Amino acid sequence: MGQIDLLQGTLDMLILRVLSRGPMHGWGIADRIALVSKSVLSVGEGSLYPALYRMQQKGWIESEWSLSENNRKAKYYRLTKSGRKQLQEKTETWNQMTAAVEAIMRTP
Amino acid sequence: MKLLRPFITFFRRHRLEHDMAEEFRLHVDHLTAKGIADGLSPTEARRQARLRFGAVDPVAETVRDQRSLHWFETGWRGLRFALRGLRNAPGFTVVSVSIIAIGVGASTAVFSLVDAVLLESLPVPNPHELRLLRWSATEAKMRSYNGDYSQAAGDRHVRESVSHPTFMAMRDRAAGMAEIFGYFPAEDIAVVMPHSSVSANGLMVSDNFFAALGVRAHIGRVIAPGDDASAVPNVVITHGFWQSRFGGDAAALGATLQMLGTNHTIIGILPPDFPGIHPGTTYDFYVPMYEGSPFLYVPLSEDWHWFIRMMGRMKDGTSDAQIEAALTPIFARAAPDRVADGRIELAEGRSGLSFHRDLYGRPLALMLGITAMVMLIACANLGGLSLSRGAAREHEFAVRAALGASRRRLIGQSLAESAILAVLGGGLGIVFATWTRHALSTLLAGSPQGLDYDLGLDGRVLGFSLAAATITALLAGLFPALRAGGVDPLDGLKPRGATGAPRLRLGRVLVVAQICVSLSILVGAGLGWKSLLNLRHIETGFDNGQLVVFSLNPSSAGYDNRGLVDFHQRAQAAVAALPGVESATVMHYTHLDDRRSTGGFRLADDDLPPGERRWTRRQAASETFFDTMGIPIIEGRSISASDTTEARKVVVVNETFAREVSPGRSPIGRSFEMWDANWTIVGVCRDAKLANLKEEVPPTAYFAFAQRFYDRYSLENVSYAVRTTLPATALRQPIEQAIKALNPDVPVSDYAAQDTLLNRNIGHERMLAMLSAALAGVALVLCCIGLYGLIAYDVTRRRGEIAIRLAIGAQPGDVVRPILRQALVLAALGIATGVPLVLGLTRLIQNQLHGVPPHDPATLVSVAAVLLVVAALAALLPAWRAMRVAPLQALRNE
Repeated sequence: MGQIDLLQGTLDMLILRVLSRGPMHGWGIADRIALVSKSVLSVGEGSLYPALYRMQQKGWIESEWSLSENNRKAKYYRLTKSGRKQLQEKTETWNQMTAAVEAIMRTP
Repeated sequence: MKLLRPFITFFRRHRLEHDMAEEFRLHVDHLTAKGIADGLSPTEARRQARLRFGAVDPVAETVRDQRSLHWFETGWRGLRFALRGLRNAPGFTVVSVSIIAIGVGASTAVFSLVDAVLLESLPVPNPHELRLLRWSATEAKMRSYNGDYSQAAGDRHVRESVSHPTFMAMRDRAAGMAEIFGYFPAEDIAVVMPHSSVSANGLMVSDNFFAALGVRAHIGRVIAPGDDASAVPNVVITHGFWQSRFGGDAAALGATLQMLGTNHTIIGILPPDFPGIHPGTTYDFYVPMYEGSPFLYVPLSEDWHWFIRMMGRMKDGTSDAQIEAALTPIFARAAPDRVADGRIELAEGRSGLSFHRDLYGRPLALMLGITAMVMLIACANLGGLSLSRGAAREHEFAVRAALGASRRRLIGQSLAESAILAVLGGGLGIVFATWTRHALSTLLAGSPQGLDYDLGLDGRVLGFSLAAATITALLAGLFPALRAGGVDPLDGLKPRGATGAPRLRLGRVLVVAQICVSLSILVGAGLGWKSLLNLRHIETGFDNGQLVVFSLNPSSAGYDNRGLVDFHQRAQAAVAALPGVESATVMHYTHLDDRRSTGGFRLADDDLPPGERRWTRRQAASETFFDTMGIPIIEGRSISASDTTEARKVVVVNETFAREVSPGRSPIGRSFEMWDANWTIVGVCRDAKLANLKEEVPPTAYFAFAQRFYDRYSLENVSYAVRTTLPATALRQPIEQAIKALNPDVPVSDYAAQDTLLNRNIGHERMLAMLSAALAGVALVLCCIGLYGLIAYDVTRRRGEIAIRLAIGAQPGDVVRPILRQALVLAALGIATGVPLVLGLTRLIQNQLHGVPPHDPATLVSVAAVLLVVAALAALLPAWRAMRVAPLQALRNE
């Protein structure tokens, strides 16, 4: 299967989800999404950073410089309280939407 | 915290930028590391990483776009970038700013003049309710008329004055519909104060004058309803007079001004912002209109002396037609035998009266038109310059586009440059406008009544000039901006150097257009100058050079008729005795000074049908008059010293009088009645211009001066002419001292060289000629710049071609010639397209010209020649540079 481009809202949700497991740096987030989706979903860096910065402006995530796992400098992002709430809301909306779509697709 | 975040990010943006760059770099490092781990070579890994990451700038851009105040940041950065771009092109910047400054400066100055003269309303409440009252008739022969007159369309004479009884009747009839008030100018009145005397101009006004206008006193009170009945000699002075004569001292209230032998008490001082109902002319005092006032020549109750001018303030709901219909019958009843088909006509009174508005209205509109054309040329010029610059920078734009700058960005930056130019040019233009306004004011002060406007820089004018600057710059910058946005990166990046740059067809069109419009302006200016020269050379009929004039008014000094004659004879002798004076004469009024005195008469043995009268201009002349003025006597004799008050009253007439009144027969010996006395014609003199240069010499009768003082007909304000070898300025003091020695209560006023009066006659032609010449000069300079810019660009573009030509042995002449030819061809095209425009536009100024046909071929040809020469000059510098192109170097750059 080719690589599918993600909608902005969906991307935000995925990033929040990844971060809900713990703080992570930019490329780590990209790697994780690629890994877990078995390379179906690939977040281009062109979409990743804008999304990260946007969510930072909105106050859903915050960042700080730190040392990465192999002792290199890296900017880590982490969820804020409102970020957590956003993740919850987005997940609910997503579930509702997929359920509805599925229902329609299933019904002959 | 959420709200503050955008501001925080704005102020921390440098830090954020740094962070972002670092973060991206680390990300790429990470991808590189991954690549190496996958087995790629380090260089290959890095290349792949970079490819995967994508172009940094667009990403960075998108990130930046997320920042809320990003638009501001972009704007700020764009502005600084634009500034830097302009700093790198100093020639273009300086020239562009100058063009805008000149355009804005010129148009602002002219606009403020037009505003002051034409548009400005009187500073009274509801000026739109004010009306001027005039009357018109197909024929009008009044016994005594004092006022303005003009010829309207369709042979109707338009006049303004009526008699006092008629005025009162109209005022009563209009009550409830409009408040009609009247006034009468009292000019050159000797005002005697405790320690000085001065000659002043004033207005005699009806008691509802100030009430109807809505003007209140600054200090004290104004003339109010009821003052006419109380018949008390009060006076209200203007703020200007109060400042200059009383130093602004409040004690002026209650002080006495002696005028015309009567003590007038100052009851009020007017506010500084009330210029009177004649904007541009200074009046110093206002006196009430009551029976017995010393300012009246004739009792108010008499109905044959028409001297009261009227204005009115309309009440709510009344229309002009209503008033006209109501008042016309009253007017028709006033003098059915003297006025045929009389009608009252209302005219716009919002801005008061202005002699200048009538005189200058059309020419000023013309000036505005020319200024607009010059601004158009400036716009086209600026546009052309910007186009050239834009085209030259195509390479730069292509690179930036390739690096990811959005189309919007490129256009925005171009417009930012235009905006900066507009601000700089506009600011400079306003400064320039201040200076030109000053120059204009001074220029105008030397005109007939001395234009006395305060050409202040008010908000409206300021707004106009800023708008002009902005529109100019934006229009000029629009094309290059759009062009910049449409650049195709691939195309623009082709390594071709300067050659291959676009040919700028639009630039050529702009230059041709500029020349086309300039042709009209230049021809207009040329015609104006020719007309002016013609005017200056009109035969005045008297010897204009070396003549100095002034006026005296001894009426306040308490002389009786005999005493007045005696005084004037002594004054004339005293002035004639001064060193440097060849001769001096006293007369009624100065020539070429817009003064008129007209009277009706019948010859003693006249063959006119009964009831009809002839009309003549009247001047008074002493025995030295004709010699001093240089008017030859061609028949009979001149006035002599023996024509005393007791002797038979004599008069000398001019050629036109003789021809019209006594055709085929010498007028000498014939006589007629004037001022209740019999006057005999004793001589005929050559025609001489009286009131102004342009009118045809009317029949004129020169009455013996000494014989003009009797009964109530005595002359009051009187003029002197002095023929001298000295310059006018040198004679002023001696004359003033001589008169003072005779009587210190008699002020010398209106001292001037006769030549100045002549110039004032053509004052508005002079002003127009000078203004249009200045504007034409500006237009010419602009065309030169435009042409130069285009050709210089073209030469740069074809440098390679020129280099090759020179390398294979072409003579410098072969290179220069096509360049010159290009310039001349463009100029010729401009001239060709301009000719129809010229023919059309000059028709408009036809009636402003004197002795020059509007389609004067000589002017057109000389202007065309000038344009061609200027075009050749403009091509000179680029051509010279082309000749010096070093072939090898130019080729190397390709």
